[in-house]
Amino acid sequence: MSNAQAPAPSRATRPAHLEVPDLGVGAGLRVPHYGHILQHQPELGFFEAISENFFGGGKPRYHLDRVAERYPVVLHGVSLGIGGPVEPDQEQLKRLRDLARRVRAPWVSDHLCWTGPGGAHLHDLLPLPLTQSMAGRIAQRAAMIQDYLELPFALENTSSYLTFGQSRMPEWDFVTEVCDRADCGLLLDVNNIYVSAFNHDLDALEFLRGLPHHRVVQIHVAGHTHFGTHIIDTHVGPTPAPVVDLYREAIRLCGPVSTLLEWDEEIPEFDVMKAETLRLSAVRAQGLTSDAPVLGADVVDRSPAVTRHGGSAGQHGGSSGSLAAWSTEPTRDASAGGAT
Amino acid sequence: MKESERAELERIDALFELMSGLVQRPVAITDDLGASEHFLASARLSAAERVDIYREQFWLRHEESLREDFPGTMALLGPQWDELVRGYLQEFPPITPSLRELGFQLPDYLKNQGSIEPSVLDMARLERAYLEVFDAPDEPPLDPASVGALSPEQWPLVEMGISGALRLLELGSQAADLRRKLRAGTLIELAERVEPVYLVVYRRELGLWDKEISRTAHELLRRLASGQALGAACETTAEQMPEATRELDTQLGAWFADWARLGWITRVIVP
Repeated sequence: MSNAQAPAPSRATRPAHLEVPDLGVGAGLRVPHYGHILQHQPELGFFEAISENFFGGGKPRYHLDRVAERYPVVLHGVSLGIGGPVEPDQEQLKRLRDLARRVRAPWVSDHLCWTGPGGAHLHDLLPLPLTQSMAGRIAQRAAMIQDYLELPFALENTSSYLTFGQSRMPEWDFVTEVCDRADCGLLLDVNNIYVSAFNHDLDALEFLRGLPHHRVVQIHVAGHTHFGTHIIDTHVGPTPAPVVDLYREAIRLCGPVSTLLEWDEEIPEFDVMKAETLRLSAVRAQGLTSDAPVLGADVVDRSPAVTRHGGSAGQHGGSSGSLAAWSTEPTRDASAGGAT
Repeated sequence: MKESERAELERIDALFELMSGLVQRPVAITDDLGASEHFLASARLSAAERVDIYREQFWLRHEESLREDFPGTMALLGPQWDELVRGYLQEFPPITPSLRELGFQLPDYLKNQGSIEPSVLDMARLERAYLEVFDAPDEPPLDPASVGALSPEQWPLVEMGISGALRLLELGSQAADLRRKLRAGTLIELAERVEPVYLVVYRRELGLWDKEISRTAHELLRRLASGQALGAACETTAEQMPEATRELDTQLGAWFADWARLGWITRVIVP
């Protein structure tokens, strides 16, 4: 770290409609933690819920309602596929709007990606060709969604393992182009910057500094899995040191922005998650000081890494939430119940 | 939008189709499939290897989801499971945003294989029902005042709103008990065939329940759920099953009270 040639925090003014509350540090709302959260009500800035997991009723909806009574809840989607061939589904947007109103979400987010060619839904955050025409398509849709939701809408930079020959601009320029044209927010995922920087031989600092910091409404922090030839965004924790360094720099550049810890593989006891959020809170406080250290060099370690055990790319809490995960074992109703 | 941009987006959408096909391949993507024409290699991986990362994720994610959602079916199928699931995902690729719906066509797919034991099909249908009921939309309970206001003349004409968090199954095995054994840690085997089991799978107070009912009650519920008025549903049930007449005569009131209490009936609709 150094203070030499320190890039100054962004001087651009945050658009009024993206003036969102700073909720501090929060955690992704995951099924194994519901009992602990509702019983112990741990001190935490906020929770982020995966929108699609709560469009129905039953246990998921019940628990989300209870959490929303006690904590701020923001909504994060994984299935809009905003860059895909098909316009966003109106019914899905209506359910999203209803849910956002129900939990009083201060903002809503999804990903800069596509999820399927139209007829199929691949349940992945697939990478985009970085072109002006694609930026235009996404911006037009994001603006429409933001108007419809009547809430700040943010798009997240995704991690990727592939680049298109058609791409014509760096990813940070693409993200800026989309957000500026849509006048929407950015959900800045610093782990995704790290993952993509390694996978595409980019400078993570140049990536971070090239983004529109005045549009950042939320930051994501997570861990990843290194396979030697590539890194996969598995959301396995705790957060690796270089990602923490990037996070501190992001806070220095963006200011006090709500920060979320994502932990989706080998999900630990809630107390372990809580300790990690406290660690991130301390880093955040460092980044907010006037003499915060400036990250002076690229943080990406390009040496061959020891391969950690594998896993599938983080689906951000899983869009399934299987019955097993919910400990919902069906019970036999053997009551006489009249003569039935 | 400029014509040149429109044309570029059409080319991109065609590329998405191509990538989607590659990602859903059951076997690894090789260099001869032309990935390098559209995607760039990195310093460490070829273009084909990079697309293959997404292909591997596709299969990992969806196979894991089906394993979690159909544990009983998987246990009964044993070593056949992996191959059948691969075939299923190729014939019924995921089309909805929710992974919970991924296996909704699995019972039909298994049935069409021709060689699957009936008790395996029972288990698959049961597990699909649990999934459907688990987070079906919430509905308010039946308002007693709406029932109290009905005159005797209105009763035959009313339609019953049946809960969306309820499924009716006719099975040839005790699949629900078998699944409970499995979830309790007992190894399970193909179930004995028994007389038809008429089962209601439903949600109550956030829990999942299954309840065996009589054939007559099952048939009546099915007709009510299809929108038939109460009087017509009773008459057609009795016509189809003459032995049911006495049961209908003596049990209807108790059934209605029970079904309302369990949340199966959510409203009465007076025409």
